[in-house]
Order: sequence, then C-alpha cells, then structure tokens
Amino acid sequence: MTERALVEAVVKGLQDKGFMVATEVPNFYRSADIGALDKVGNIWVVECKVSNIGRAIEQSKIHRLSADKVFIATFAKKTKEGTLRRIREAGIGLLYVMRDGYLSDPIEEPGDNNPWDLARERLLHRIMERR
Amino acid sequence: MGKHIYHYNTHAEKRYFLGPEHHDYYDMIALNGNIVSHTPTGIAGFIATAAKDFYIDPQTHAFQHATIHLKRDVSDKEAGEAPSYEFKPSILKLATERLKGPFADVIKYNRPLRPTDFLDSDSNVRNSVIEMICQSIALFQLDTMTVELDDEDKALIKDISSLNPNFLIAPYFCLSTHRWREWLKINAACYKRTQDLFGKDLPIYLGLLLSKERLNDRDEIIKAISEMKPQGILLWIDEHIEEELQIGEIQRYVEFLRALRGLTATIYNSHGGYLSILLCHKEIGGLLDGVAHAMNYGEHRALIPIGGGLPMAQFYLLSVHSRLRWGDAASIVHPKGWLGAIETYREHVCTCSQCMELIKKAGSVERAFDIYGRSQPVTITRRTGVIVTLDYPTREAKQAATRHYFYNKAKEFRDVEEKDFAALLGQLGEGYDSIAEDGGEDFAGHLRTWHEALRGIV
Repeated sequence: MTERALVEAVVKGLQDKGFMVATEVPNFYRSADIGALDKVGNIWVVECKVSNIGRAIEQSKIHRLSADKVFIATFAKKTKEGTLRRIREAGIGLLYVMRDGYLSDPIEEPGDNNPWDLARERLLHRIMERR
Repeated sequence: MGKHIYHYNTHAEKRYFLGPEHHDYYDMIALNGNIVSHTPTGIAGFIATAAKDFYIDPQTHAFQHATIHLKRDVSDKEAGEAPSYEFKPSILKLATERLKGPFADVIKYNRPLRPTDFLDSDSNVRNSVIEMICQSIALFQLDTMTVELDDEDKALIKDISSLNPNFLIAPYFCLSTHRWREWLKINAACYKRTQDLFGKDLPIYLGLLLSKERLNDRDEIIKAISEMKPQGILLWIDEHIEEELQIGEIQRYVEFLRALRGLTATIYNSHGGYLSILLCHKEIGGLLDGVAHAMNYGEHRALIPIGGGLPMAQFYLLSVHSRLRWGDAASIVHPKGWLGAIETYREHVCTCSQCMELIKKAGSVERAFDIYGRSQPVTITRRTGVIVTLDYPTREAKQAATRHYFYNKAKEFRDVEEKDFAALLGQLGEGYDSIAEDGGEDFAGHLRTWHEALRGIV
C-alpha cells in the first residue's frame, strides 16, 4: 500500500463528504499533501503517511499556522498510545483509511487552532488555485 | 572589541558591504582565494571602495580532498546525458596559475594532495616543496589584485596600497581523521618558512582547520603551535554548529581557545555564531578576537559542503540568536501576539532599520513580517519521479532577510562590547524561558545549553 494510494483514498473520502480538495499545496515552503475546504469554509490540511507518523507530526506542526484543522492520515492500524499522545499534544487530528478504502471519521479530533489570518488567506488562495 | 568579519563569497553580495549606512556595521572582509583568483580586478575595485581591512584565504586545504569536490557537472541534463565532471574554471586558474606546484599537479593528475607530496619516505619535510608553495601562496595574496590592473584601473583606485591584505595566511591543511599528525607537521613547516620569508612585511597567520574530534588532541596540537609562535590564528572547526553543541562540547571548545590564547596575539574564528561572539567578551579574557561569517549564512561550515535543495526564506530571530526557517519563526512570533502592535514587535522581535522600513511600507507589523516569507511557486520533479510545487523566496524576501540579518549581527557585536557578560548570560536564560514555554524548545534549547556551559567561565 503506497502513499499515493493513501492520498487518493483521502482525496476521494473528502470529496464524498462535499469538500473542495487540492493536492500538493505549497505552504510555508513545504508541500502539504492535501489542502481542503469543508462545507462551512474551514481549511483542512492533511499529511498522508504510510509509516513514520512521528515525522509527519513534525512536518504537520507548521500547517497549524495557516489551516483551521490539521490531520495526519494513515491506513487503519493500531496506533501506539505514545504516538496518539504526541498527535494530541501537537494539536493535530488523525484520520484512518479503512481496509475497504473508505475514510474514517476523525480518530482524534485536532485541537483548537488560531491560524494567522494572512497565512490562512494565502493557503485558501492556493487551494482554490489548485483544486 | 571583537572584530566583526564578513566573508565575501559572491559579487551579488556587494550591495550589503558598500554604502555609508553599511560601512560601520562590520570591521573586516574575508576574501576566498577562488574569487580573488577568478576576478582579481573586480575584487580590487570592491576592496578599494569598501576601504576596510581584509585578508585572503588561499584555500590550500581544498586540494586535500577528493577532486570531485573541485569539479562541476557539465553534462546536458535536458538531453539526458550521464553526469560528466570537469574542474571548475576558477579552481583551474587558482591551482595552475596562482598556487602552482603540487596544487597544479592535483589538476594535472586528477588526484588530491597527500602528505607524501610534502614529506619524504623518512617523514622529513621536503624543504624545496615547502619553500616553493610558501613563496607562491604568499605572492598570490600580495600581488594577484595589483598585477592585473591596467593604468586606467590604477588611476581609479588611487591608493594601490589599500589592496594589501592586513596579514598573510601561510599554506595550511585540515587536521581531520586520517594522517592529521603528518598534516600538522606540514602546516608547521609552512608557517615557519612563510614567517621567515615574509614576516618582516606583514603579520603571518596560521590557518587552523580541524575536525571536532581533534579538540580531544588538544595538548599535542597546542604543543606544535607553541613551537610555531604564530602572530595570529584563523580557526575553523569543521561543521561546528553552535546550536547543536552539548555542554561538554562547549567546554572543550572554551578550553581549546584558552590554550590557544596563551600562544598568539590574535585568534579569529572563521565560521562562528553568537556563542563565539560571546567568547570575545573582555570579562572572560577575550578568548576570541573576532568572528567571521557570511551574509545570512556561514555561521558554521562543513569542510566538504553538501549542497542541494531549494532555498528557503530565513529569518534571524535575535532572541534565539539563530537563523530560522521563516515559517518556524512565524510559528513562534505569531502565537505569542508579537505581530500586533509595533511596540510589542520592537520589544520582542526586532528594532532594526529593515523591519521598521517594511512596517512603514506595509502599513502593519504582520504584513511587514510576511514580506520576509514572500515566495513564488516552483514545480520540481523529485528523485522518486513525484512532481511537487514548492515555495521559492522572492528576491525582495531574500534581500530583506539579508539586511535584517546584517543589522542584527552588528547589534550582537555591539552588545558584547557594551554589556556585562552576566547580563548577556541573563538574556540567554530569558530568551529560553520566553520562547521555550510555548513549545519552542526546538528553537531555543541551545540558549539554555550555552547559559549552562558559560556561567562558570568568568
């Protein structure tokens, strides 16, 4: 199961929920795997990782400056309690792609976020541009 | 006062060195042999205009490593050609026309220098080779800029003596993992001979380039240097990243400097950051007499640089005395509310002319701070074949960040001159407390380490 398959499954899952979705969105000199806009206008950034969630946590922190909700997505598995704690502490949420390819509801909800307006505007613009 | 030295590495950096508003923000210019060799008249014009003290690093150590590091890929990538490497033209000229002898042989035979180029089978120094390289390398530093000037250039420059460096650097080689004792012996021979030949004209400095591990061999190295009696030392510790040093490593560095201090009048660190600037403080005996770095980079440098990767916008955050990725800097200053009122920004982030100009121009602090991160998207194909779009800093962002860095580094040198050492240590502790409390440990942890390592030093 590859990262590309994971990204495709998350994109489809979000689109099915009515999100506007873009992939490989430049943000703070990094590339967010997925940038999306939900039905009420919240900006989501989703970093997709087949393994090495710890690295994804570090990569995802910066997106909290511009997105309303930041998630890590991975294939459904038993995530270690220590990893879950680090995800929670970083204010990031967790999504699973299930065996049948469906996207789960959040396993962990992201914490409250207060993005920087200027950066949020720029990210929104880039999502709209690339959707 | 610790001398503030800037490396001049590309002509594009000229704008930061010249002009009345910049003149008082640094003391000395470090030129690399490569640029002097390649563009001597351009450098002569620059030096004459800058009217600053300067020296030329002959970069003799560069020929000690695998020759691939002296080459460039000349293949046509778009045509799908396999990589094909040739010596860089500037290196070719430096080795064959300027440094000559064994340096030219590196090009001719495509192999690095070895200790046996300078030592015979009984490990005795080959005096004729040492004599030859000391001559050619000193004359390279003394004459290269002036001999290429035509009459028109000379008339423009007026005072040709302003093109004399403040000191000469003897040929030197790196004391790294292998055969470092032999290289130390060669360095000593080069230093002594250069001193004999040119010491009456100018001070002769010893280039002391070593890996971090060599600090463990302090006594042996110090003994050899004490026999050389150098007039000055230009120190470069390979990849000495001050933000990553542990307490014991800092103490080992300090002890090394203390030992050197007794052997020479002047010690400059060729690549150092704020930790080294602090070590210039008079209350701790001025362990260093100056620190060099480049424009918005170069506070540490690997002997064999690893290039690659797209450039990222950087922001020098004075409270952590470190260059951060602009996004990381934003992740500290925005949640803390330091991008609100200008007074808050001045208190916690920066008061430099560049920031103040941007705030005035942009109309708000946060819009001004945003300029440091401005980017344009570029699309690249990763080695895996994946195509991604990433940010690339705009020219405006890069120039603003460099000027901001320039002003902040000048402030650090000024503070070390004017403030008590204890007060400066206190600022490290305060900086740590302020940044680390909200998850900024990754960016501020070194402040606590420096504080711990230096508080017993007075």
